[in-house]
Amino acid sequence: MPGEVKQRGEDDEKWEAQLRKGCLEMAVLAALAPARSYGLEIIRTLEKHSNLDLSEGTVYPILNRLRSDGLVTSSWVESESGHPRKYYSLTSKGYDRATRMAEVWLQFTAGVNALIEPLLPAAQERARG
Amino acid sequence: MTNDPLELYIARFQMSLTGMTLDIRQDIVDEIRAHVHERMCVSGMPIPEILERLGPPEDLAREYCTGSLVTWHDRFSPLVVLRRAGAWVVTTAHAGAIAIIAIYGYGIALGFFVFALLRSLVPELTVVWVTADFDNIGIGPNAPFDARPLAENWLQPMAVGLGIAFLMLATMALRRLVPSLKRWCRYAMKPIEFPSLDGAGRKAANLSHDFFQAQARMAQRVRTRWQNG
Repeated sequence: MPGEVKQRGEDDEKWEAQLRKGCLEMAVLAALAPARSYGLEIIRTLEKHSNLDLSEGTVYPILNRLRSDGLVTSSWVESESGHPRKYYSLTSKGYDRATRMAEVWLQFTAGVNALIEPLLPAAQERARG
Repeated sequence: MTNDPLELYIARFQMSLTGMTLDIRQDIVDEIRAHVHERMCVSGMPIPEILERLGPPEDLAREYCTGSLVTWHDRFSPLVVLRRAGAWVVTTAHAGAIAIIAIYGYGIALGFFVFALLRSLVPELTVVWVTADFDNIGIGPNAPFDARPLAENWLQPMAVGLGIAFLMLATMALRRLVPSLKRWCRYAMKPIEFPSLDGAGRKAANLSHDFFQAQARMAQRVRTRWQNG
């Protein structure tokens, strides 16, 4: 029985990790939409505005991949703190992609929300307790 | 051997970053180093804790190397299959173009360089000649009686110049084509999620359930109307 509970916990964690990782790319693009930003600032924006609870090491490879896909550009800029910062900004392709992602996200969550509606009372009770 | 935790972390991280150019690797390492310094300045967090938050260096490097975090599947549809087939055709055409440009472009460039070298070693064997009425052109000592040498002194610099031009043009064309090939190839290789028999069975069961429900509702409506006269 404890083994079964442990397995269920691991499965939940795996699913949650995949879910978080899946929407992280969109979240990073969205964080860059208002203005250019550097790695740590992006991480803090994501921590502040979303519930993503991410490992800091995850964001940099994503930024690197977005750059190689031409969705963001980067440049090193000297900062007041004395350390150079690598600033990222969205390209027009990246902005289009982020907008499309947001559109898909809205449709997707609307569909899933309708589907999980019968589970909501139990889920809310669990969150409260 | 250093005991600095940051340097030890960076060394392990650098060792695990494979399959990329030195410039890209250095850029990535510089960014991670900048992140650690920035985090330390902003939050005063000790370096070991910052490194712990970044995760093990091998895992971090693996994230960079593997690139994609989640594999997305496309649902099966005839249009998706048609698109994939189209992507394979374009990928094959790209690969063919790359092979032709690489073989011919670099081959011709090499030919010009070899010619320029031979021109200094054996000038009498590498004379380019043209006949008086310009209907015949060739290389070598066995020229026709009315032939005259062509651009004798300029031949070597011209060959070097043309070699460089072919080398540059082939490289520029390949630099454009290779990323495009990668993109097409990635799209063509994207997995398709084919419908399973279980899924089809479930859909059929749902459809028949909906049909019988609708039939029962209609019968109920007819019965109510008949009872109400």
